[in-house]
Amino acid sequence: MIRISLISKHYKQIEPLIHQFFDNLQVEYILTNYTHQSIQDIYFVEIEKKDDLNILNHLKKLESTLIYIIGPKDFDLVSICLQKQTHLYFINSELEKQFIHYQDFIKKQIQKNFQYYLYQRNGITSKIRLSQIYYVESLRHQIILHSINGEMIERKTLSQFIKEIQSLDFIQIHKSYVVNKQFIQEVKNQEVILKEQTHLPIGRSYKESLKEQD
Amino acid sequence: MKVTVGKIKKRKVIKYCIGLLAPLFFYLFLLMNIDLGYDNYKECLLFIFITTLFIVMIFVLPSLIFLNSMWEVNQNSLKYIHFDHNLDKTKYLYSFLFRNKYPRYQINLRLSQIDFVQISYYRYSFYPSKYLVDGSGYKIVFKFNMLDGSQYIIENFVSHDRESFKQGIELMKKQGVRFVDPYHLLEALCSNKDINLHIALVEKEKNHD
Repeated sequence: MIRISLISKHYKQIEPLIHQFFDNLQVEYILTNYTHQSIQDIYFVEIEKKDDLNILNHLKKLESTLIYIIGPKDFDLVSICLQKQTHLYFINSELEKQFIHYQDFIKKQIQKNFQYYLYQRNGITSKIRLSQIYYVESLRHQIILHSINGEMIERKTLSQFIKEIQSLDFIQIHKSYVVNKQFIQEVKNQEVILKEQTHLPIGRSYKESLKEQD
Repeated sequence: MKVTVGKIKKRKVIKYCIGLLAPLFFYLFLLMNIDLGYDNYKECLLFIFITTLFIVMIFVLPSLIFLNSMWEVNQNSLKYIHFDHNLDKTKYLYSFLFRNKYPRYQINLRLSQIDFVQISYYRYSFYPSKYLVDGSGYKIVFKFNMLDGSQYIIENFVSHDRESFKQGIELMKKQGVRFVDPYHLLEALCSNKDINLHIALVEKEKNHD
């Protein structure tokens, strides 16, 4: 489920366009009013002037959160938005047209940021965001998924996991470890250090492929 | 502070062991003291005794002692395990008895990452045929919605051990976990009400609306 929030003075005009756009994309989503307590996956923020961008500082977000700006045709505003690392800028007078134009691009961004890893067995169903998995460890006939939420053990091999996710964001560094590239902080000669300070060993036969990735 | 729901109690193990093994050893005692005339009979009955003892210790005892699932909550995390097979239960039972070691939990969630927990239910059939009388019940589903958008849906979270279940839920609430419970199922579970009756009333109200 993708959580979308719209911050706009013209909520009623823009809301149906967003619904139409995401219905066409055929993704599971929920569009809600903005509240400063909850984290959203995608924020649509409508601005009229430079000062309106202050709200970006108050948004609760993760690394995977997408921020789309809707604003006037103003080059200065666009460049400021780019500096603030927003993901797209839609011109408000051409919103419907631009939604169609950027459809494929947004679809790719959504697939990359919000793809799930699904596990279903014996009364447990888990949908874990791939972008939030730090690394996967293999232990005998099981794998352990280490993510922002904690750990989960599953009876599966590492090669089955890699085949299943089909994601270029993950790289195997050892016969027992697959790492999410987004979380790598440093690659040393013998080990990989992740952003959350986990040290993982590099297998001899995986060194070359890791260098190529660099 | 830590609360474990559905944990194995050594006293329970001893009780079940006595209950199950006493008749078996009584049978062995009789076997040793009765003269059957032929040694072959005795050997055969001894073989039956050993086989039965083996089956009881491997399959019957663990499935009687263990619940299908077990969870643990402390100030930082919630851990959950569901036993897939009977052999898993056997393995964990003996490692607990002889090495005092609890099984490694299948899911380990950080409480700080839980956005809210949604509680709902669905009707399910015990048997393949829906035409059998009283062949259906309700399953309570706990949906853990995480801040990053991930979801963990657990169907066997409710335990027969209601007292520790209540303590576990209270501890989670104390740690700031938010429960969204539109049908007041948690309230019914924690107050030891008959959950099937409660859901029947909820269904009735729904139909009335």
